[in-house]
Amino acid sequence: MQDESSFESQVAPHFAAGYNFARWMLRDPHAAEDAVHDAVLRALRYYAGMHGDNPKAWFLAITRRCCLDTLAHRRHQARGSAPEDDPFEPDDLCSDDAGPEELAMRQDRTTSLMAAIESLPTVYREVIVLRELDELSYKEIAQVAGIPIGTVMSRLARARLLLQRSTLLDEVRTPIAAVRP
Amino acid sequence: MRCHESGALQLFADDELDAAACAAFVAHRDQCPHCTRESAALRALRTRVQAEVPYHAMPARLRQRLDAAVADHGAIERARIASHRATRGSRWLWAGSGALAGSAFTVAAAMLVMAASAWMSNRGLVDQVAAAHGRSSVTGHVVDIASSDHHTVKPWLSQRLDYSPPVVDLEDQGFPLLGGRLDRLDDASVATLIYRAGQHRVDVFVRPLPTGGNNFAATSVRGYNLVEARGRGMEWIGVSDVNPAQLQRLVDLLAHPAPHAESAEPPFTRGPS
Repeated sequence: MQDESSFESQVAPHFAAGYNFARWMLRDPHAAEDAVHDAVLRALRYYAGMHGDNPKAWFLAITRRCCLDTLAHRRHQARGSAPEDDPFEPDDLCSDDAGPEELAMRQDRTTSLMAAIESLPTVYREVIVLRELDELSYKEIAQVAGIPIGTVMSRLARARLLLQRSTLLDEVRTPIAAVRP
Repeated sequence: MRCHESGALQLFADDELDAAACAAFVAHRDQCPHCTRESAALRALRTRVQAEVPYHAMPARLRQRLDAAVADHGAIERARIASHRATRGSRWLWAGSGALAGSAFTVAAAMLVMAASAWMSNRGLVDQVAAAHGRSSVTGHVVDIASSDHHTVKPWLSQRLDYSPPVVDLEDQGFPLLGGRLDRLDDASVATLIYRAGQHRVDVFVRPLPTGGNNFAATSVRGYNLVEARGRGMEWIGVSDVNPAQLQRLVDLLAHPAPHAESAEPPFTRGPS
């Protein structure tokens, strides 16, 4: 039996990373708070069974699961249909789950890179955030997202391609490419 | 190296190549305009993302909410462990008969039931206290008898209970007495003393020491802090949104008064129960 003091030293330092991740996953501060709270409750419950030597990846994986539950629930409410087992499929690979209001709001911010990341489909957004903001290794990202390392690589490559294609980035690419022809 | 398929470009950018592969990639890149260009673009993208994209800071209220969840869970665990220890003696009895019956499952189930029931009763008390405190705030029914004079509050409570709770005003120590109230805990009437601590109201539940109950550790439920102390033949449970240290100080002052305060309040004697 692990005592909670070790939970506090092992897992609690990663609550902030959980919040940042949930915020990017859900694109809504309030929903992110609830998801992280939910994740902490689940983590407390399952801490004794934690295996692996990476509490951060473990906690982020739980946070991710809570976020996916929220996304599935959102989609369920929007459609009035039964929630799917895999909240990613099939929409997240080709479109996203924003309502018209959020899309309109996002269009006002298309100039920012932040908006470009926010409009990435969830599967690409999560790997970018974990890699660039939390600087996780491929192995850790694979652990958090529950996917093979090869998939981490291909999703990261795809995510970066999508970001580079966003109009603003095309403008900055030209001078950089010109530095070393 | 066939640069379009290797993936080395991205692995390099993400520091995922070992030293040898890294050197090989750099050697290739310097020969290859495509890889030079793509490598620079990738680096520029990473730099921009890290410079422009915010790391969302956790709001302070969420931090408090999470800390409370962890503390709450910790209190439950401690109570559970304490009750495990308390029942260790009888556990071995179970273990003996279980081994004789050849049923390890029986042992596990019995231990679980014992632990859970002790835990549930503690949990119930904590919830009742928090609920009583919360209810009085919501209904505005804070005091049945409003007085800062313990000579008024004590007789009023004694008339309505089968015991006489010690009542002292602690204004000198920074906790003025506001009055008294009757509440119910574990299906028995109990005295509640209401104190003020700074801007906060503190409810202190006073009842004769329950037989065989275990102390509960300081905890927090629904945003309220709860502490317990035992002294003068009584169990004192303080609940408030004031900080736990101040709450503990108040409850300790009540349970273990300084000698001069004791003279003003004769030692309590418990009536027949």
